[in-house]
Amino acid sequence: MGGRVELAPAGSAAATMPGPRAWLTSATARACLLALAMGGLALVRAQIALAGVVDGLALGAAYGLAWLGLAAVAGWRPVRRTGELPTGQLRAAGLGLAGGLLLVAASLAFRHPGPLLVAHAAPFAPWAAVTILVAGAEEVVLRGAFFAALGPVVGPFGVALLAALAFALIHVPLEGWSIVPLDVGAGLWLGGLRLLSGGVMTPAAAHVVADLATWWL
Amino acid sequence: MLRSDRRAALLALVAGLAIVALAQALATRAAPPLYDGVIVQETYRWLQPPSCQPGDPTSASTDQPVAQGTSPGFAVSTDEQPPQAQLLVAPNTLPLPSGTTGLKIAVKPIEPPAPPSGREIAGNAYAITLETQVGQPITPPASAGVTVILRGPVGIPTPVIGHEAGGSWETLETNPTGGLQHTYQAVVTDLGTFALLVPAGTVVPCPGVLGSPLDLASIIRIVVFAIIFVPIPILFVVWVRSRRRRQV
Repeated sequence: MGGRVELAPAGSAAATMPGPRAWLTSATARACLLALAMGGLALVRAQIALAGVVDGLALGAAYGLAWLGLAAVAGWRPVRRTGELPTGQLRAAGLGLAGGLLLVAASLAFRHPGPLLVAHAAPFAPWAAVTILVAGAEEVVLRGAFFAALGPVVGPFGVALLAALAFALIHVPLEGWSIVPLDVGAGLWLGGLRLLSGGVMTPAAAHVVADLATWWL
Repeated sequence: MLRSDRRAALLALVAGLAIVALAQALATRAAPPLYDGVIVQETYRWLQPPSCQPGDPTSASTDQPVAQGTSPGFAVSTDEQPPQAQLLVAPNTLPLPSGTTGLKIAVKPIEPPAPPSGREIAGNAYAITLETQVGQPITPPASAGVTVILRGPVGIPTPVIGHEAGGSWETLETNPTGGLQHTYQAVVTDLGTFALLVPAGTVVPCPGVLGSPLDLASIIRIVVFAIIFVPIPILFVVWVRSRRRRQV
């Protein structure tokens, strides 16, 4: 997390839709495999969570680590551009903080009156640590590896939209279909932050802020 | 940054925020900024706990003042995390008898009544009451959208919410409560006793290490989910892009 992802040059193999063998090694195929793995992880996590046989924090930590592993397998690596000052990352984190707060503010402004139903039956510190791990890992995969694989093929808005759809769908097995519109919107917002900043740090920081805010809302 | 990237970023930000605002405004209950994060649910507390499960489920009650004859909005929830039983009422939706100055609301786990034939109660039965300050019951119309939410124990098949009155049960149109596991909701037009009902013989109080078995319906859901999730959206966007390139 925290690095910048360089998108493959436009006009790569996937962009020209070659034969089946070449397609299998293309960016599109890589993105499909990544989506398949994301869906698989989401289904496994949901099945274990619904069975109720593993502590939620332990399951969350394992899930976050699995996503980081997925990003590594997909070839995502944090890259610091030569000559970039550390303040660049701080600025990116600051932009993410602001983006997260804006997302929270917009949600509060339009939210249905009544209590927020959340499941936080855990002490704050370990819950926050696992929440940061999961949110960061999801961003590294979705707005990192997935963006890098598919960005040159479908363009910047297309990849933001697909990453938002994937973000919503990975939460369906655990949280139901009714969450899709909200998560598509939030995913697009995070994708916009990714495009604006050029790196994963900004959407990751915004994602973490939005998740942690549920403790107090 | 390329100009096209900046344009796409702005479009994604504006569209994202608009969709978030719309989804929040149209939601039937309060929603978080996004559905995500680490879900840690407290183990279900049983009124009559099996040996492997905790007991002592909580109750909840409140008094709500009524100002100028307008019904207040409120939510009454038991203390578990997340609550095992809740009553949600939106403001200005209940018809109140004249002279009403307050409402008394209570949610309490009770000894379960006999379940309907072929079904059993999953978890606890809850008595939910909504009365005026002098004890006159309030009957909410369907348009009020008064909602009962019940959480069930793990390892049960998809339940329906049942409403018991005078020894007979009515099953209500039940939906999963998004964002929470094992939690279901129904709009009610009468209060009284509510419980989650499942086919008889399907509640496993001590589920064991494998939890609930994967039934056929779950497998079908997973397959359909995989088909929707993986190739269709990606291939569709690739196809649109390649067509556009060919036209150029």
